[in-house]
Amino acid sequence: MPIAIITALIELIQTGITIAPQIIAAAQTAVSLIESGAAPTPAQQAQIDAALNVAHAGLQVASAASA
Amino acid sequence: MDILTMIQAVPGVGPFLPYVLVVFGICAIIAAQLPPPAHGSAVYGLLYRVVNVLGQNYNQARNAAAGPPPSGTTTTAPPAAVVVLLVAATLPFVLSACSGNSAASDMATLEATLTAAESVATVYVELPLCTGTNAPLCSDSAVTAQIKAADMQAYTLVKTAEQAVDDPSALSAAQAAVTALAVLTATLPTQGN
Repeated sequence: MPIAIITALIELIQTGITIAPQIIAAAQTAVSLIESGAAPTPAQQAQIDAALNVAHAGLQVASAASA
Repeated sequence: MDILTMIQAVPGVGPFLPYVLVVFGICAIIAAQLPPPAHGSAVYGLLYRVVNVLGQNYNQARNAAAGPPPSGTTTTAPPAAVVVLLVAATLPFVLSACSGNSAASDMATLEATLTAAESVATVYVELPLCTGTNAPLCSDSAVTAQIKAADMQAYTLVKTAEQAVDDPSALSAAQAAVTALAVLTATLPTQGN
């Protein structure tokens, strides 16, 4: 396997480790809201907003870096 | 030196490698059970790609290059792994449809969906640019530009809908934009095709 692919795999793993916990936490909150049918509390909304903003900023930075 | 100590000493990712390998192993088992997605099945197609990439099932496996079954042929019952995966993937949507959600919880679900789509897109964008020799793990600049445009539109419309929770048209527009980004990320060429 070429070194470039191994390097890309390691970067993939590092990226996943960085962003996964916030995504999983936001997804768990969203699922609990769906199950309960309740409106999110301010803390839950803040958690979901924060995860979205982190993911959006991450994509913006990655796009700018690859351009 | 003990092999586990060596793994733990890998900078940055060492403590997580055993868990990553467990995920890879599970996905490798599931990937062998998954039938190829039919054309137009975006959600299952994304699930199929993610499982196959994590399971290291790029181009070698017997089911990697197989097309959808020809029309008119009889199909067998799906393996248990498919049922489990489909239930896990569709449960939030089914629950959302059955629970009579408030607009606020619909909005929260939409934001979480956009977060997930952006995360998948980020993983793709951060891959090295395609040079013709580094497939399948590479990104195309034209696709990256499409992702960036779709994400900006989805993010803007979601934030607009968030400010106008009682406006169903704003929510519908945001849902359409998020779906467009999700479809785009589902078709990312992560397997060298």
